Amino acid sequence: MHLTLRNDPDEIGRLPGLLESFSEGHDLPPAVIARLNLILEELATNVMHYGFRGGEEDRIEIDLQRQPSSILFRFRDNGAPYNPLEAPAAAVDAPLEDRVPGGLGLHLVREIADAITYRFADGWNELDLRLDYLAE
Amino acid sequence: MEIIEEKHDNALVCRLAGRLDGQTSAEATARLAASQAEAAGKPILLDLSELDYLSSAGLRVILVAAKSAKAAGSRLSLCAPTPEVKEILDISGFGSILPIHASREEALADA
Repeated sequence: MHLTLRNDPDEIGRLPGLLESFSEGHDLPPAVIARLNLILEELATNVMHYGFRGGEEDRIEIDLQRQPSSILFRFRDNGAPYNPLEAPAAAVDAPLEDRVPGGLGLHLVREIADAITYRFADGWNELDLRLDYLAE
Repeated sequence: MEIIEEKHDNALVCRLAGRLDGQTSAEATARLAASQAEAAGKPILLDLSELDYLSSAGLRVILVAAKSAKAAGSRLSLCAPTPEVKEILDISGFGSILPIHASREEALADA
């Protein structure tokens, strides 16, 4: 399944419906779809906030592929080059007083995805991700 | 997303139903601020039993509400998250910044 998102936060709101169609076609457990939705929401939100430069050509391209025990997906965007694997670690042990909002999105992505690789090629950030779902 | 308020003797319970994400976070922040004003210092308990989905935008809503409760001399706690939502709270270390009770009964007994 291929999805294209324009640079508009409302596009992220389309994900649940789009992923439901993907799930129905592939008989996937709802918990896995929720994790997939979360990873895509966090990555897309991050790109829209920090990566895109506000042009008409801003695009996110997502390819989803179901394997017997995992979902393989590629998340591409043509925003500023940025490797989310190098984002600073979130302070998840800090007490309430020291917690500042933000920074948790990419932390969630890195914790929930079972594998992630990043490359920048031909003007596109490309992330290849794997989400396992039988080995739980 | 829906937020249903229920007044108890020792706490104001807000039942969050649906999705707490980037699409609903602004409205939820405003609703919880209003609930907090109404609670007038009473502890606030967020019942998550009907919350289907939580992303970092939703975690921010909870963090902001917890901080503002603390600043007002009150406190905010959570109860009854589904396994999926609990996983997100755990990964984010929220168990170390606010009480997360397994059930509403347990939470109200502790309020």
